[in-house]
Formats: sequence, structure tokens, C-alpha cells
Amino acid sequence: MVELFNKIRQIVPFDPSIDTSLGHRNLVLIYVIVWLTQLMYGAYAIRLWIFHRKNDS
Amino acid sequence: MSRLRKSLLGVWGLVTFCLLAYGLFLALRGSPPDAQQGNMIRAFYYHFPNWIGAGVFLPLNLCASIMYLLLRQKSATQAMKADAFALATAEMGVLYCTLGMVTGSLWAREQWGIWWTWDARLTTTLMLALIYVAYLITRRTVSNGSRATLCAVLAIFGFIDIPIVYMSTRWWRTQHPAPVFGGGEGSGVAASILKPTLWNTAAWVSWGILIVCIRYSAELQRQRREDEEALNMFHELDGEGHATWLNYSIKSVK
Repeated sequence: MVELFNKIRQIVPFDPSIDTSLGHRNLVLIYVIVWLTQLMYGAYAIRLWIFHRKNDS
Repeated sequence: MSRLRKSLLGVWGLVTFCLLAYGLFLALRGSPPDAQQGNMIRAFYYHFPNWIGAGVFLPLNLCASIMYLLLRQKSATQAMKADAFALATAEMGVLYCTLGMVTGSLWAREQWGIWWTWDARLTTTLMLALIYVAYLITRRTVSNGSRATLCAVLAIFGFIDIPIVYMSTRWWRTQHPAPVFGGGEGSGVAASILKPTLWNTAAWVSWGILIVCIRYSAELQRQRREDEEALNMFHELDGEGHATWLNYSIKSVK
């Protein structure tokens, strides 16, 4: 998990002359949280859809 | 769901993922850092679309709730559809609202030096989120026939907070900045910031529409099955059947 987070950290631009390390960490968190939460909710909605469709047939 | 609808949903999903991928590319690689905020400006590309999402789906929840109240005496099927749509849009609205607050807090820690402040914009936004969380809890906990009506009324009252949230930065002095778009003289952003903002907004709203369609379909199927089960039980109400029904009711209560 930590390794994955560090890999994502490398994708998000960081310039030590204009950015702080706290800002960079928060920026990475923003992208990770938005993607993870939306994908998890999407998976939940699809799972419910499949479940109710199976029950209907 | 018909085959045509499934195909449309598939195409919509594909377009959405392309939009999200392009939006992510623009946000991380396709735009320069800001002169004042540096790379932290990239937080804006994932903060702003959440509020547009909430601004799209919560008013849709209001419309669906009003439609439910208007249709419940006229057409049970249409009312059921309106109620299912209200649930789907409320869940999506709450999700966007929560993400907006979390991303805003992470951004604020860097820009303002604080995670949270009780200014008018943030406080009214928290109230909005809590009202709609209460709406969703009510939907889960109330199980009798008045659930949909109760939730529709709650949604109408809850919506009153949305104009207050929007106007809060104009009515009161707040830590939160004035609206970036349509905020009067001096508002607006540079073209290099506008492009990723608009693409990401389009992408996340498109994602919201996709998931709301799926959630709506699932909820409608659930409600239809619930209705069918209730009808089947009602048809068993005769002589012996009455006893079965009574036993079932007693077990349900227990």
C-alpha cells in the first residue's frame, strides 16, 4: 500500500522550489481519495444492479 | 433493461473513461503550475468538479422528489420511478458533497494553514451534507409505506440550504474565496487553468450520470420486486392464507 502510494507520488508533479512536501502529499491524497471513493461507489452500484437483475430473472 | 439501453450505457461508460483519462492527463501533465500556488493548483481540478456534481444531482433529487409527490396518487409506476431516481441522485449528491469537503480541507491545509474553519461557506456546506445524510438514513431505517413521502418532503426542506451555500460567500465575509466563475469583476481563471477544469468537470459529471443510471435501475428493480412480493402475500389472504399472512407479520415484527 505504501509502495503504491509512493509510486502515485512520483506521477503527481512536485517542484521543491515552489511546492512544500505537505502540499504534495495532500495533492496526492486528493487524487487518490477521489478516484478510490468514486470507483468503490461505482462498484457498489454495479454489484447491486447485477444482484437485483439476477433475482428478477 | 433493454439491449439498446445496455448498449447506450456501455458507450456512455466508454466515453466517460476516455474523458476521465484525458482529464487526469490534463490535470497532472497537460497544464503548468500556478504562479502563486505552484503545483497545488492541481487540487482545483479535482475539487471544483465535485461541487458541480453536487450542484447537478441535488437539484435533480429535488425535481424527482416533487415529481414523486405529484404522481403518487395518479400513477404508482411513475411515482416509483421518481422515488428510485431521487435515491440515486441523493447518493451521488452526498458523495460529491463529501468529496468536495475532503478535497477542500486537504487543499486548505496547504493554502490557509488550517484543515477547517467555521466560516459561513464551510458551515452551511457541512449542514447540507448532514441534511442529505439524514435523508439517506431515513430511507434505510423507515420501512413502512410512508417512507417515500417522508423522504420527498425531507428532500424539499433539505434543498433550501443549497442557495444559502451558494450565496454565503456574497452575503458574509468568509475565509473561502468568492466564486471563481461568475463572481463578478476580477473573477475567472487563465486559459491554461480553464481547460483542465472544464474537461475534468465534464468527465466527473459524465461519471455521475453513468453511476446514477445504474443505481436507478438497481433501485427500481428492488422496489418492483418488493411490490410484487407484497402483492403475492396480499393474494394469499383467504381463510387459511390469512393465518399464514398473520404469522408472517408477527415474524416480521419480531
